[in-house]
Amino acid sequence: MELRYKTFIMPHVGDSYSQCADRFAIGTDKNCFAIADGVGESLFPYDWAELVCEDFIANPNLFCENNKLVRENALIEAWNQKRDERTANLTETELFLFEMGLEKADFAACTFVGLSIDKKQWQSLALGDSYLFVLDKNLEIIESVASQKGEEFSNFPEYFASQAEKNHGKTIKVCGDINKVTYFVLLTDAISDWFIKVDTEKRKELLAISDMQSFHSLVNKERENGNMKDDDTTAVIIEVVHDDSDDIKYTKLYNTNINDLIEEEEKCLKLEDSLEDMENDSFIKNDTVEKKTIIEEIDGVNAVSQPIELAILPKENTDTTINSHSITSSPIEELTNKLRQYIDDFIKLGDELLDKIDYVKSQDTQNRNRWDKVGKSVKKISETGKTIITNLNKIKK
Amino acid sequence: MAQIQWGTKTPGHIIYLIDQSGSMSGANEQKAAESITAAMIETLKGCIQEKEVRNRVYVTIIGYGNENGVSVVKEGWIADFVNDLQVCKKNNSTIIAPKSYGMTPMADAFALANKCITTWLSQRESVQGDYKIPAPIVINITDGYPDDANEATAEAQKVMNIVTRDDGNVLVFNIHMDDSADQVEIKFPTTKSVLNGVPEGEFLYDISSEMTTDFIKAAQAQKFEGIVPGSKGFVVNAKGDTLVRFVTFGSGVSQH
Repeated sequence: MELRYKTFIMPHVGDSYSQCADRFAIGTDKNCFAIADGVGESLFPYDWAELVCEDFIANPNLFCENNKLVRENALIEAWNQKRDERTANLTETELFLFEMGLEKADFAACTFVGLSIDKKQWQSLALGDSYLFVLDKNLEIIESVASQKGEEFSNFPEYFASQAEKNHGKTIKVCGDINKVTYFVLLTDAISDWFIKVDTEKRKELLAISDMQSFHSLVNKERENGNMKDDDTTAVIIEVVHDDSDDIKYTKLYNTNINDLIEEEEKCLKLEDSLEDMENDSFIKNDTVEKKTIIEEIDGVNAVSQPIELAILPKENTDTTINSHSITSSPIEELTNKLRQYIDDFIKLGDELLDKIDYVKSQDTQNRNRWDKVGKSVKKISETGKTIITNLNKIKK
Repeated sequence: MAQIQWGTKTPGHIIYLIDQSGSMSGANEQKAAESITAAMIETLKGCIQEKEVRNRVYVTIIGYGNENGVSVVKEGWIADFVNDLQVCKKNNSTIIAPKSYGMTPMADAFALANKCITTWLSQRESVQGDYKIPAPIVINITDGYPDDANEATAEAQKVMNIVTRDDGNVLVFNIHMDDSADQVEIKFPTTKSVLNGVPEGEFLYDISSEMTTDFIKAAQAQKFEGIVPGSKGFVVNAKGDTLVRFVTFGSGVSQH
């Protein structure tokens, strides 16, 4: 048997990946899959959702008993530790806000659905409105697993909580014959709701998705049409290919790593901050020649590239090739080396991010113009950086 | 309509109209200010993610009847009020000073609300691009009859008739305060007949929006009883507890 899987995740409109509270985990060594939706109103729900998913794939057969997580204490301890790390060194205002938030919820919670597979059967355990759908070869739903179904979709789901007494609801366990299955689809609530309502053709559209770009397009379209609730949205799709083999083989068709996405997002933000810093940098704007030209350059008003590096040196050194003799060689070398390193890093990061900005631009349609502007600014800065390097190379030693 | 959930890309706008006329003097002026403070604290809580505030709500507080006649007392994103609310929590004070003076120019207050809403919607349309814009909510807190009921009705209905680009009409909720023990609270009425000829009630009935299905569910979840399709968003003869609960409910109904 071969299991071909792909995973996709997308946050609530306007949220960043770091704010997305959905998590999933794949455990190929123990043949299991998990998906969890952190309850938005709870505290650090994404950490809890991640811990619960990871715990399931580590111990799928000894995960939950009598509606209680078997390793509840250890999980709570791990979550407490993460919470403490996140709340260390708060300012007075942050502390006020954190404490106000605690009045709303001082614990984390997540809905959950886990799936484990062997050569003969599949088993699932669920709590809340995250779903496992089991599809046959005609893509008909032959089983759906969730402890809250249909009209019960709400902001008050059943969940596992990071405080034992706050657990809410009863888990449901379902098992079935693996030979009847062509697809397992694990979905968080908003896309589950959609998946139940749509026809087979629409389901096919989801099952056929092969990358994040297509996933984002589908979700955006369905959200815009009002067919899908705007919420964090996650899908784990597993195609079961039956064969005569006794082993279970895995093929990763597309895998999303939320932590990578968060990291990339942080890089983008850092770059934007750098751009803003450059625009606001008093070092550039004050006491230097060609002030107007440079500001215009940075603002993108003047399309003709001007040598921005002129501004980096003090006024008397604007023509570096002429005046460099008046400065001792050591500081010049130190400065040029530092500049070269700084600009090299910046260009490298900018080139990396340009591809990503293009991708984000194609997805985040509402902000297309803004992303376009960001992309152009990054490109301009990269080009300017290259000019700086060229000019640095011309400086006489 | 009024179905769009408030978020950072789809922020909501709450406009509080607070009667600060002479008749509010004493307990009412204090309770009205407290109810807005309590509602804003709850609104803030709804916007907190761990240790940060997300600007999901813009707040405008319009006072009418004080020494200034009608004016915007406070205005800003919910995050702008963090320091003030921090002080309120610490000192048990109110976000606006309790006031009571002069007449009840409710018509002018609705006219100013109209201006604020129109400006808000126009600004959001220019900055939000394709993101949907939720219907603003107006919550009017008063203890009595306006200077000119016909004019106030006309101005309030102009506000109710503002149609947003994406989310239907602006909503107007009213709360009439009366702590007298002999005055029975009437909540979310469906017909004027239940108002027993109370003039303030009949007037407010005409200038209150009908509760949407989502709002009815939200109100039921908050243990308000007797709300059915067709119920109007207002309360007559509200006592202190109902006042705070109603203002908080109206402020947070689209937050989640």
